[in-house]
Amino acid sequence: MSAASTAFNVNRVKRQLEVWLGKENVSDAEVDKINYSRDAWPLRLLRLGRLIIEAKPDLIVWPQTVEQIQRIVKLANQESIPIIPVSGAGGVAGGILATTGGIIVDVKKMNRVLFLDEESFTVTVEPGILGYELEEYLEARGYTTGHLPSSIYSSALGGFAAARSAGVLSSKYGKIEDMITGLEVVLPTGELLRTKAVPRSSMGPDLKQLFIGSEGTYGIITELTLRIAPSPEETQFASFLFPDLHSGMNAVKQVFRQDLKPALIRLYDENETRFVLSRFKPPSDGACVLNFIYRATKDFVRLEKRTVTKICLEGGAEDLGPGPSKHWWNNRFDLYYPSSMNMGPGMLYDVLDVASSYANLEKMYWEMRKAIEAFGVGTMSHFSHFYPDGGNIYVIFVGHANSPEEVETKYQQIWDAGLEAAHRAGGTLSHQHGVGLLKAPWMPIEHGETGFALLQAIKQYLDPNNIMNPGKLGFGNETSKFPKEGASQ
Amino acid sequence: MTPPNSTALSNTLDDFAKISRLCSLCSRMCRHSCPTHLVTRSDACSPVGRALIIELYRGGKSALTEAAVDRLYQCNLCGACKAWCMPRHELPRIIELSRERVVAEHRAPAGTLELDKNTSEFFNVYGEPHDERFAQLQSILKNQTSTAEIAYFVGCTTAYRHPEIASATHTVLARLGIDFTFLNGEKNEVCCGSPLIRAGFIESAKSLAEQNVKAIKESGAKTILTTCPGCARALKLDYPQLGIHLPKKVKVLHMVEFLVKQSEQLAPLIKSPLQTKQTGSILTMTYHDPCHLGRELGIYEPPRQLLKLIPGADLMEFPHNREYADCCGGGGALPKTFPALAEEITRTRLADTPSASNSYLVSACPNCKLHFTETQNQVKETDLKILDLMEILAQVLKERR
Repeated sequence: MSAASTAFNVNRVKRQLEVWLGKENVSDAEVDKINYSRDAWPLRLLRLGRLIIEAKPDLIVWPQTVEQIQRIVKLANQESIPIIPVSGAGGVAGGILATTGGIIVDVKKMNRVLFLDEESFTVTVEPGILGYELEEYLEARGYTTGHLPSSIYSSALGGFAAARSAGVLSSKYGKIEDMITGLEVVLPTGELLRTKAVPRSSMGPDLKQLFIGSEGTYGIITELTLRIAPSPEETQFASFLFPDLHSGMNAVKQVFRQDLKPALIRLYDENETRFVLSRFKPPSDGACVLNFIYRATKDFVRLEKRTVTKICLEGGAEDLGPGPSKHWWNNRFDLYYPSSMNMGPGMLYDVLDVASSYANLEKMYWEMRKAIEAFGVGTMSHFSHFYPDGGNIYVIFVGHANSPEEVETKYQQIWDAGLEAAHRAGGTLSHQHGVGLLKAPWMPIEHGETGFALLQAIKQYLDPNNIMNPGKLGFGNETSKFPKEGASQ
Repeated sequence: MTPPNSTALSNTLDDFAKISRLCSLCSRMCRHSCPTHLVTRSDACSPVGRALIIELYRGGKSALTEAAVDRLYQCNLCGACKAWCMPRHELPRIIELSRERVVAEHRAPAGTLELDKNTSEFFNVYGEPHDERFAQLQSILKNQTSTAEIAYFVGCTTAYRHPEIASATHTVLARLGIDFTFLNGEKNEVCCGSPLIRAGFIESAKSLAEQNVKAIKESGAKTILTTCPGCARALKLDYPQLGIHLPKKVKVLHMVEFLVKQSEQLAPLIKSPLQTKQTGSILTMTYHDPCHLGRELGIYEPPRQLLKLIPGADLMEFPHNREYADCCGGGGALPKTFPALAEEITRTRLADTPSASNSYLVSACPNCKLHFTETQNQVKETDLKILDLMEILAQVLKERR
């Protein structure tokens, strides 16, 4: 698959786009392009902290209608110009970096709520509405999507779907793919695809799921219909301290076997438990905190709380009361602000988000820790999205290196070793953060040769000129695991 | 740090290097609160975008190009970003300092040059004759004492655009039997300098500050009252940072701070609830927090406490209020640099007013009133009555016996 042309007559294309969109909705200003050369990928931010300019688009456009997007895409397809769809730009894997130049299509001006269907409990929105904006709109009317990722202030609905995201309360409300009932997508050739917004269908494969998680490589999402839920009548918090990880994990399984779905189930390993309990009580060695949030009707919360408490106490836990869980909820965004801890000179950090069935989950955790800590970095981990059959692991690593070059080398080695361990243990290499550039080389490993060839064939069919978000998901000519420093200056 | 008596504010762009770097690397946790971003929806036109532009400039990676200057001035300096910032980074201050660099490099936007010209030639932001500063207040000046313990610093917008706020203030103070004076005539109040500090013209601001401090000293007043949060911020916070100090015994208060302490005297003077002529029913009011009064001076409750003194007053709140209040659109010299953008922000705030029909939108800032009124007159989308808090109080206070 050949990459889209990176050499095009920017001025001519710009003039055409200005006619279609208005001058104020097109920019080739240097400071704008640099601002669009980043997401929240730690490696890109570490480089940006060194003022490394790379992955700049040639143009940025802010369309306001689907028709405008179709025109832009058709033009780009005719002239083989890369298109990078952007909404909130809150991703953590380099999924919107314009490593081949091209046009960034920022859909944030398409931020309307199109229809609130209070009979069906769905809402139809444009892709540029931020998660926070939609929740504010719904909350004022007594609803929530329940999709509350920690990036909710900075990420948008289009990105949620494109990156197949999960919110912190996903155990109750489901992930984005469970919520979306209908999609509209501008395909890479400019045609418009609309799937019916229905609860379910058996008319062949579910087309919308092809685009959820396609990270802009299969098209630009221009409309979404999502399920909504009533604002909770009652919210309560609970925390338990288990003597070890295994007993905590067993309690989680028991909770699902009782048919319960607390909004939050969050199990911390021993290292993160020490951090979580730092303002409460020092835990014994190996002890692990398990936090719950119950959000439902008062009656249901009472039932859930009583049953979960019984399971945890019988499982050998100490009841810590609501404190640690409530503290986490109230301060859950704090770690997302950059600090000298994670952005200081020589610092390196990131989060591996993997998942597996219960049969492999603990083994995967221990093997990943061993693989990552071998590089002399510290880890702390939590399991924050659970299912009846398994869960995810969030392995956070923080370390130091002596030079920027060593930071990058070590960063890549840690990722390679961590993902290799997860793959060996039978896990998926991303639960909710997506692929972007970071995990692009792992796509054939994740899906196997046959599976990845199928995804590539679909890409080839939909996007014969490979204009849509080149290099992401491992499609196209992008073979390096990371963009070369200073690429596309 | 800049040594004392320097002509610059007591800190520089480089003093804030650590903060601007961290802001430039943030995952945009405050972007959703930035009024200019919410109109443009551009990531460059956002707090983090501006921080990155400043970092690129500081690091020698980008000059202050036309686009860079535009982004730095496409900011209301409203401080909403600070309310969403867990570490409470002072990004608006950093943007002000970056604007000083823009001015020093002779790249200031035309609208701000006009501000600077007007204040240096006419001592007010509107370019009106200085000797007409009190022209619209002649009726209340007639019986005014020339010396008093309390002086009312009127400010440019009240003097030249909304003198009714000064008249109302006069009424309120008179009803309370409080003797006060204006800084008129030879005492010569001039622009407080806040608009210039915000726009980056620090030298011009300093000159105005010195004139005002002299005027206040000569008046002999011990308390300076103002109805303008921008003036209050300048006199309370900016002047000391400029190294220009009022005598220690002089207190500066926004009128709501002063009046809330007079609540016991005020309450019995309130004659009746506000009523519409049409329906006779009590009107609802929505209080809009001015950015300088709220986020910069931390004054949120006194204006509400004063409005609640009115029997039967139905005080509504914007969905975004107090620390999270949205700007009226008039801040940061935006109406001078990007008027269409400013107007769009004002329209949004007007549209967000709860119970918009036939109710009062009350602020405690003449600039908020100016921008709300001008925009409403143009768009005519609501029948809100836009009043300053002093005007509401003047309407409900009866004569002392």
